[in-house]
Amino acid sequence: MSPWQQHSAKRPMRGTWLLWCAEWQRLRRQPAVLAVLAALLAVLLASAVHSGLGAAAWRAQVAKGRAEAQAVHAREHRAAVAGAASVAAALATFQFARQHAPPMVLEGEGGLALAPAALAVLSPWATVTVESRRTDTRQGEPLHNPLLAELGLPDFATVAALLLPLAVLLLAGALSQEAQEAGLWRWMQAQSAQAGRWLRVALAWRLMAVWACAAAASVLAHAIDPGATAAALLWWLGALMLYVAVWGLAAACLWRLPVSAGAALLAGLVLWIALGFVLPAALVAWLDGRMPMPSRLADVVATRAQQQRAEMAMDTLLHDWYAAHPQVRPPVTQHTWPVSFMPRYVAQEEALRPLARRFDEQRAQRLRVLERVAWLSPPLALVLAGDRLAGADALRYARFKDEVDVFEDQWRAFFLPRIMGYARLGPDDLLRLPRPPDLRTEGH
Amino acid sequence: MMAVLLRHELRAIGRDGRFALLALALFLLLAGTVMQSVIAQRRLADEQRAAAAETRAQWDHQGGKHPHRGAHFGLYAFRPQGALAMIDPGLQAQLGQALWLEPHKRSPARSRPVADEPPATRLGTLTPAFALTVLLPLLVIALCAPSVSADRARGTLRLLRGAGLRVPHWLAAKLLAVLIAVLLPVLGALAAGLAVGGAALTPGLWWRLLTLAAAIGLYVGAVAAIALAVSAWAGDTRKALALLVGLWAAAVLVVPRLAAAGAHAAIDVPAAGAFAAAIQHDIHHGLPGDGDLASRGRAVDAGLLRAHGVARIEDLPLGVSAARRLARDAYADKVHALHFDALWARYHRQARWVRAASLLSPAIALRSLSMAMAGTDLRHQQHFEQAAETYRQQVNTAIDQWDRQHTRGLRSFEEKYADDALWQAIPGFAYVSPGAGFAWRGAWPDAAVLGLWLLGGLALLVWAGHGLVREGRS
Repeated sequence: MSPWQQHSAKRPMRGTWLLWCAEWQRLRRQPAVLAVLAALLAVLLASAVHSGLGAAAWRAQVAKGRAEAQAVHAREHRAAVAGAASVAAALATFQFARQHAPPMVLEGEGGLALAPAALAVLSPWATVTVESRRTDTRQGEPLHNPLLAELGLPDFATVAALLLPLAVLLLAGALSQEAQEAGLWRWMQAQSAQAGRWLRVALAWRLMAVWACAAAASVLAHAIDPGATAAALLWWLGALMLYVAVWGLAAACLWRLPVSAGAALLAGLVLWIALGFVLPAALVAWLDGRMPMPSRLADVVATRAQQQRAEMAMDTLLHDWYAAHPQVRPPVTQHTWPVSFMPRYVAQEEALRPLARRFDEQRAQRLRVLERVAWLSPPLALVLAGDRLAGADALRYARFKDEVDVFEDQWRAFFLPRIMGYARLGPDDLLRLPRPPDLRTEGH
Repeated sequence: MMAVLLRHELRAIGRDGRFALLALALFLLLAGTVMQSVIAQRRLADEQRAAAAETRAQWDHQGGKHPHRGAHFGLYAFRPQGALAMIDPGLQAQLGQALWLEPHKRSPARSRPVADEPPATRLGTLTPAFALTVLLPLLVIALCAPSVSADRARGTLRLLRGAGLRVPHWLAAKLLAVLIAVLLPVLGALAAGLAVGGAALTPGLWWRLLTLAAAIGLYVGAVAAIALAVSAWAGDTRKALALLVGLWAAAVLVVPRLAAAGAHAAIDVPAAGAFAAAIQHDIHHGLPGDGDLASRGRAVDAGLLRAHGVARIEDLPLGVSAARRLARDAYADKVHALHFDALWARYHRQARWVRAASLLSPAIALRSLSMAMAGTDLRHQQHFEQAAETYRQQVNTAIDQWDRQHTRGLRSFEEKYADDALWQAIPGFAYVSPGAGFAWRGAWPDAAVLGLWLLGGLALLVWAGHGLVREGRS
């Protein structure tokens, strides 16, 4: 029995402690390992700063949008005077109704720093109107350079999902083979009854080091975002721990391969590519085949067809509206824009809403299915977890769009009788304006 | 001698089970992505054709309307994709699929496919271009990393040198063998994909395809030269492999993204709301030296009265609303052009930032060049949007001129005096994609950068070869 084996047999805890200490000493004296960890930390920190600043900028933009809306509301309230019904009054009421609805925004959750760009790509701003929001194609999409959007730095969650496995595999994917090639394995077998334990300790240190890099960057990202919450950070750190452990398990599986260290490393890379790129792409292809998104181009055609139908039926719709609302008595008999357009907008909205909402519903449905199979690809599962914590997932977006539709109905119901009755908005009307759900608790 | 060495290296590669496995995997992946891309591009082309035909039919059969309301119903422009988009869809996912053409306003393209894509695509969209730019270097690395170091470790190099082998010849043979082993199946897979996709091989497409193939050759050559040099420099295969994988991750995953983030931070793009507001401001208040909207309108009216020798607007022998609109829209077009040109200039400055980073990563240069050849880059999109904008102005001018000629004085928008004859008289949008020369003019710096990378790789290989020679003497 070797001295080490004798020592371990007498004091097992002390032996374990010494093993951990020895491995720690070995780890910190390996320049290649330190270089990989330093590179990983540098990239993760850069990404964390980028995403954290993105989240902070987003929250500032939301606050600014809200403040501007409140300022407009206060200004209009001061300027509002009651007056008689007239064509000018109808126009003023219409202009207010189409321009001054408080903006609705899908705010990020406590983990927004994990995926701010994912939220931005969803068009999370919505301003309701009494016109036809869905036929005005100029609204809703941000300006961006497509090249930078294509190449740009992904969100922190995506960077972590891609780089952590690479680091784990580089550091630990060929530990066993390296030990055998260096003659270390044989030596350890001679020194210890459980040589495998040494490998497991070496793996554990490497996994902890990788997790620590990711955790440090995550804390930084959340520290930069003023809206970040401790709960989101803790969930994320837990998810990262699980993620690193899964890849640690994969690395340990590679030890079983009867190949050289270089070949084991290559096998690790192939696994990384398969789970990180090929499988998610295959899942998307499967999803596209099983439940494809509706065509945006076909939607353009359907929207125009409805637009044309409503335009052709404008006179009838106008007549029917006044017939159905005898309590509204307009001061004129010949109606022009905007009054003549209002019933048309209502008809258009009724027909176009289901068409437009198909996209949100299908996106949410596809996400539900994707979440069920995401365990097949750990990187995909981590990205989805990041989206959930950021509040940038399609399910939440669909709920947001539901709220927008509800608010738009309230807004339209409030203004339609007033515009059709050629009424001017008075101070009392402005106090009774419908408010979106997220503004109801705030006082004006 | 070279022929013997080359044959020997090719035979060695053929016998390497790992290479065969990886090459087969990459070939299947490439073939799969090409097939998937072919299907996606066909579906997109079919959808575009159908949407273009139907939106045009809707335009043609609007029925009786006020001409300006008919113009507001608008037309749509859809950009046809070139055959090479199936190899590199480039910016397709980030670009709007449809461009709405209406009076008064120039709109950016809308409905970005990326907004409808599931989160999985953020990890990377598996396209042939992705396989070529990101995964192909891994195959080259797997092939080259053990190539020199293993021969050194086994003592083969010492034996060969004893037999009179010259190290530069030996390294050149290895490089050529890697190029042949990698490029033949890759280019074969791409050619087969194009054939299956039914691409019509016009001379323009041939030139673009040849340029792309040459660029892939330069890229693979550069990566192989660097990988062989590292293999010669490193003590063992594991060290060479770890270093090369690190370099690969930096070059294809990190540098392009940091470059894009740097470009974004250095050159700001206005927010959509601010951009639209600035255009409206300049239309209403006028550009420096011009009057505001009201004064410009008064000047138009005064000019019309003077030209026709009448004192009242009502007496003008033409459609006054249309005449005013023509003048207003001509000014709006000028303002829009100014702002959109400035926006595109910003985009191109950002692109130049990214291009500068290609000196640190050949993957950026290859990606830029392949997008240019496939016609899916920024310049081709700008070319299309400019053509669509010219068409938008022509359509609206034609309708307003018809209105000006066929009416008198001021007419209400509620009047419906235009019919299908007017809509159908408007010619369709016939977009002609630019030729290969246009793509080359945009992509030559990328080709030059790839050439520099190859030269740099070769220089590194020569330096590593000298090291081997010195090592043999000592």
